[in-house]
This record gives sequence, C-alpha cells and structure tokens, in this order.
Amino acid sequence: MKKILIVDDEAGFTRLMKLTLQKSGDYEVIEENDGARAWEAARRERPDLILMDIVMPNVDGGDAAAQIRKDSDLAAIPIVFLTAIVSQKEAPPGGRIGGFPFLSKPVGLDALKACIEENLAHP
Amino acid sequence: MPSLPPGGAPDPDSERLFLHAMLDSSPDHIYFKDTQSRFLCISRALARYFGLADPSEALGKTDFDFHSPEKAEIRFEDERRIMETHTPIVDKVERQTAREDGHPIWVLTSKSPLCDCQGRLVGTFGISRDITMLKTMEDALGSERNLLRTVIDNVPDFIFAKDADGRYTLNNEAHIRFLGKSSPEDVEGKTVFDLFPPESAKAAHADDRIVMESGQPVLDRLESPAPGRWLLTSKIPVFDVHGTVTGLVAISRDITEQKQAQEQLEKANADLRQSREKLLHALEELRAVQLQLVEAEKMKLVGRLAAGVAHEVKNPLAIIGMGLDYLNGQKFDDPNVPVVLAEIGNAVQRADRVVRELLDFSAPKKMGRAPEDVNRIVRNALVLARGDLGARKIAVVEELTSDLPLVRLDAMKIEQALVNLFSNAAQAMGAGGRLTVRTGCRQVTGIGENVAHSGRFLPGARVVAIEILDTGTGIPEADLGRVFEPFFTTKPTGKGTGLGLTVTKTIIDLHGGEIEIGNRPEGGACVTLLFNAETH
Repeated sequence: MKKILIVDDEAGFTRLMKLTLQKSGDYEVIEENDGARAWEAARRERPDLILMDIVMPNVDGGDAAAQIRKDSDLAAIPIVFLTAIVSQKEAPPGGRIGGFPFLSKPVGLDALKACIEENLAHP
Repeated sequence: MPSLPPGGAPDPDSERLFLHAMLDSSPDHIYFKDTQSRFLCISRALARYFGLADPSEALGKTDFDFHSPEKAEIRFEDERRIMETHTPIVDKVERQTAREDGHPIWVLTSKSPLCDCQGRLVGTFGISRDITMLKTMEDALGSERNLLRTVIDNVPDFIFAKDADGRYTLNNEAHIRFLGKSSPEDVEGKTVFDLFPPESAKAAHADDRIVMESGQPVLDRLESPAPGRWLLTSKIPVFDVHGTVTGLVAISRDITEQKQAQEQLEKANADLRQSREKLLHALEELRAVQLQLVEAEKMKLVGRLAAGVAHEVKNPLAIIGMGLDYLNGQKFDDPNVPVVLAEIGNAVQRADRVVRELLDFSAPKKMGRAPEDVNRIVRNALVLARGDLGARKIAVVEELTSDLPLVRLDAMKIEQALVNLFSNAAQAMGAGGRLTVRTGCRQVTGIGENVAHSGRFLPGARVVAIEILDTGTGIPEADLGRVFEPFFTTKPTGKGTGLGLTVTKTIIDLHGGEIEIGNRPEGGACVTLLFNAETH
C-alpha cells in the first residue's frame, strides 16, 4: 500500500480526496491543511508521494516543496503540484512548474491516479 | 511757240518760257532781288503769300513791305552777306508765320548771288519751300522714337534685336550690363557665340533659327545662359514690307531669384513631406506602444482578478469533482442518480472551461512582430481550421490578392485570431455553407466609406484588408455593438465562453489594426480586419 501525503488548505478537498483515493485503490492518504507543517508531516509520515497545493496561507506550496527537497532524508519523495491558478493550456512546456509536475484543479479521478502511478514508478 | 532743236541747248525764248512756267506754277516761293534787296521778280505762289493779286505788284518793294521789321532785317542781312562773300546759303530751315492765321510754318530756304552774263553781281535770288508737314512728321517720329528708347533703356528686362544672321543690332542698357559690356558698340555686330559658352549659345541660336524660319514667335522659353542663372525669353520675328523675316526682337527676364526661391520652396516642401512621414510613423508607433501599455496595465489587473477568481472557483469545483468521483463508485437504488451525477459533472466541466479561458485571456501577451505575408498567414489559419470546417462540410473560397505589401504582424497571434473567426463563421453556418476569405490592399483617402471609422489609419496610408464572409445566420443588428464585450455570446449556453471575439479584438488592437463586423446584404456575416502596410 502506497502512502500519499496531501497538503492543501482546503480541508473539504483533502477529506474527499482521501475518501475517493482510498476507496478506488491501494492507497493510504494522510491530510495536512497547513503548508507550514508540510515538512514536519513528511518527516513523520515518510510518504511515497506528496500532492501539494500552491496557493496556501502561511507557507505556500512552492516554499514547502523546496523545504522538503532540502532535507536529504526526504529529497527522493516525488512531489506533484495541484493548483487552481494555472490552466493546462497556459502551463509551461513539459507540464512542470519549477521542475515539479503539476495537475490543474479540478482534476478527474482517472487523471489523478494516472499521474500518481507515473510519478511513483518514475520519481 | 518756240521750237526745241532735238539734242541741242534751248534758245533764249525757250528758256524764258521755262522760267515763266516755273514762276507761275511752282508751289515754291521764288524771288529775284537787286543789290538793294528790292524785288525784281517773284513767283505766283510767293505773290499769293504776300497777299498780292499779281506778282508784278511786288516790283521795287522789299521784305520790309511784307514782313515785320525784325524778320525783314534778318533777310536783308543774309542777302548783304551773300553779296559780300559771294557765298550762297543752302537749305536753311526757317520758322515763319502763316499770313492768314498766324500759325507757325517751316520753310527750307536756299539763297544765292545773282550775276549777269559778264559775271558782275547784280543782286540775289532765292527759293523757299514749305516743309511744315514734313517737319511735323519728323517731330512726331522723333518723339515716338524718344518714347520707345526711353522704354527700352529703362525697363529692367533685357531687350535686344538681331538681324537675319543672328547679329545683335540693338541692345538696351540692361542687356548690355548683363552681357558684361559697357556700350552698345561692344555688342552690336556680335553673335551669341561671341558672348556665351558654346552650349547655351547653341540653344539660343537654335531658338533664333526657329523664329526666323517659321516666322512664328517663341514665347516664355526657359534659358540657362550660365550654371545657376535662369532667363525667361520671348523672341518675335521682324518682317520687312514684303513679309520676309529680316530679324527678330526679344525680351528676356532674369528669373534666377524666382527660380532659386522656387527650388528652395520645393526642397522645403520635400523636407516637410519627409518630416511628416517620420512623424506619422512615430505617431503610429506611439499609438501601438500606448495601446500595448494600456493593454498591459489592464491585463495586469485582469490577470490578478482572474487568478483570484480561478482560485476561489476552482477549489470548490475540485471538491465537487472529487465528491462526484467518490459517488460514481457507489451503487444506488434510485436509477436516476447516475443521470443526476452526470449532469453535475457536465456543469463542473463547463464552469472549469470558463475559468480556464479567463486565465488564457488574462495571460500576459508578448508580441513578436515581423514583416509578414498576410496571404501566408491566412492559408496557415485555414489549415488549422480545416477540421472544424471540414466536419461541417463548409466550402472554402480563397480570393487572395497577390503581391500584397508586407505587414508587421505576430504571425502566431494573427493565426489564432483568424482561427477564432473561422470557427465562429463555421458555427454560424451549421452544416453546409460557404466561407469566403478575401485579401486586398487599399489606400485610405479620408473620403466617405473608404475612411476607417476609428481614425487609426491616416489619409494616404496603405492598408491591407482581410475579409471573412460567411453564409450563416448573421448577427442580430442589436447585438452588433456588443460582440466584442467580454462574456457576450450569441451561442447557446455551454457552446461559447463569450471571450473569443474579445481575445481576437485585443490581438488586432495590439497590432494597431482594426476589426469591423457587419452583416452582408445577401445574408451571413462579414468580418474585416485592417492593418497598416509596411512602409519601407
């Protein structure tokens, strides 16, 4: 069973994401609604993949991801951004932001799972 | 009647007869006087002048009997001198007074000593002729000549005359000065070849020949006798009584100053035209920059707004979407639940599409303009829209004018705008129909329909036009003014976001171009795009 850490200030979104992902596949989903606690949660849970919102109060997704990448124990964990402010069409070439893959909200379950599986296989 | 021997001298009788005939009939005043200046014999004409019925009445009288003492004294003195010196007075012009009304008359008088057969002085004789008429004519001619000479010598223009060989026969003072000479003698008898450089002499001489050979004047000929020197010359033929050309007269005006002024004016005009073009060019660039600045400022705001809206809308959409994914995995007793869930899913997608297009619309637009062939861009856009047009079985008619001027465009952006317009046309036509794409070049005249409404194109500018004509439903007149407003759409709900034409107009505006939308009289819509042609 793969462990997914989802960091998003929208508690309703993380809750439904957890329910949906856990029901549809072999995933354990951990929720974190504060970007400032993302690194802490990653050290504690040691997830196989992190889904990270970008726009969050306190610490945004970009800073939280950088903080996790700097930690050598956590640097290998794949991070996928989930964002509401970039449309797929306007995304930079390669579908990456700051070197990270990203998904645009709202995202369908199939696209979400495909992205998770791909990044678990090729971190 | 005395006879005249043929070829011999007349006899004394005949001589007497001749003398009497002359004295009787000559209109001249003839007299003979003795040494005391007493009349011996006078002609009938003189007797009439003295108021005598017969010449014999003058016998023994003197000039004092017929003239005032002063005049008589003059005559008396003349005769005394003739007799003393034995010298005649020849052709003396005298002023006299008509006896009848006192008006002045002029006479030409000759007086000589009178000698007998032995050569002894016996008196004087004289003959006077009335030359008043000749004198009057001479005076008139003299004053006419004087007037003419005054005119010729005092006008600032050059006046000269030439004989049939092209030699100067007359020159006024201005012409003599112009030729660098000081007196008429320095010029008279010379030709243009003596006075001008060969080239200008040849040209002037050629004109002389035309005048003399054709007998027609050459008027207002522009001549350049020396570099930078300009004359305006007219030459008129002079005829003799037989109608033969004997020479020419000419009048010539130095127009060097006018010519220089004209050249300066023309140069100033050319400079002005150039400055105007530069200014117009600068103005066009300024307008484009201004539009871009305004656009950039506006888009910064819209971008912030769009990002905010996207964040606030997409997150709830994500929650609804995720909830739908969760529920889709469940089993329900009510068979309508999957239908309800599908409708909710469609609504989420629609809302998401609007937000995405809003983000596209507000994304910063950078322009990469280069001189482009409009026809090439049109063809590329038609290729891109092929799928949409082909699926609806729409016939495409290309009416592209070849050799169009280039236009500074961002080819990608214009292609995007054209694809939008083709797609709109396709949707308006439904299945079947004809899409006509036309290109052409016009000159803005500033008159009537030809002038663009926005004033973005200045009179004289060359404008490249792209027209897109469809056979669709057209646009309701009431909506024509609103089609460029964001979120305005005539398409059924869910079919359009209402941002397509707004984005298109923004693209055209950023190019300093213009877009006009109207309905065709025969049905369907017509979109016209106008761009300033490249000037260099």
